[in-house]
Amino acid sequence: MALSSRGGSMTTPALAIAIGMAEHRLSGLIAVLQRLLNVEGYAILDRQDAANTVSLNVALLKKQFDLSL
Amino acid sequence: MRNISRQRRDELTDALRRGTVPMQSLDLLAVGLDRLGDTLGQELDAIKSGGARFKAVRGEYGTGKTFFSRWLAERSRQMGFATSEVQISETETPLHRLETVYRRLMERLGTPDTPSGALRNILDGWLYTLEEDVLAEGQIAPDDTERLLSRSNELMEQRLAGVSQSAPMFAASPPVIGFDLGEVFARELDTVLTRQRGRKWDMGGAQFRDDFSLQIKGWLASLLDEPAPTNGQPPPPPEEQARLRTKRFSNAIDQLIALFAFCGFAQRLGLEPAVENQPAPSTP
Repeated sequence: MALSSRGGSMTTPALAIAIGMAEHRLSGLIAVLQRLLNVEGYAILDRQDAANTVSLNVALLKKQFDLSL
Repeated sequence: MRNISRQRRDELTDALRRGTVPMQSLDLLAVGLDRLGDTLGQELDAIKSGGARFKAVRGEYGTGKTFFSRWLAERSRQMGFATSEVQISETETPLHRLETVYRRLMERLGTPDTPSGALRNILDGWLYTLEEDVLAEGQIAPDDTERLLSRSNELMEQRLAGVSQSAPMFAASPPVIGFDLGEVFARELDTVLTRQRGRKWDMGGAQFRDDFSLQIKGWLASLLDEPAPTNGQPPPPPEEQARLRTKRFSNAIDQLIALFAFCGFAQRLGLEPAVENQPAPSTP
């Protein structure tokens, strides 16, 4: 995923370009992804509104889903 | 035994090591609430299929009322519910100013993935699903922003048609809404108050109803008329202003739908005055 190559966080316009999606649709996609990833409320995928940034906590992701990437 | 995620396991064992109460995972630490579990589970199932329940928990200081309600909230979130917790306080969220209570309810809304402030996620996710549905029809290309938006707006209207049947004011045009809505809410509330009369939160009948109606109207007006921030730049062209106005309006509607859901709940609460006296759990 584009996010992890940037150390886990990106601004929303940058992410929209990276994955080739219209920016206004991105917030919806993030909401859906959060439903999937944020098991038991732990913020693997997080959105900071003030900084307009989306961040992916890779370490937590690996831990929660037992991944070894 | 349910599956517990790794992060949660670590957090729990850490909490036990330190002897502090963890923010989450109360259900794994709760003792003695199992006997309530079956009933609550059945009631949550009933709610899931469109019902509503009201619970009153009574107990002395320190007997675990808050613990019980948070435990219940967490349990419901695990079943996919959205939950919200509001403490009624004289200064911030007094019961005679229900709009503060509603606002707090929405601020604190939590879902399984977002423990607090989840309203935005819920709406974003819903709108995204709408757009996906539109794209699945195959008539509109994903990069055709304009047509995608207009078609999903259309679909949104259709999906909300059900809401406007049970709550006709949502079908009304913007100028009418400000007028009708306060009254509709007031009527809802009046039903509750009538049934609750003689109980503790009878706020004083007609006078209160009128005040409440005015407050909702004022709140709505402020939502709709709030000028867009210009940051010192010349005012945007008329089309842009119209777009911003529509956006604010749809935001207001979103909030109101959430409010109305609560009002519906409050009304059912009046219809089913099932006040249960929970025996206080014995303190260890």
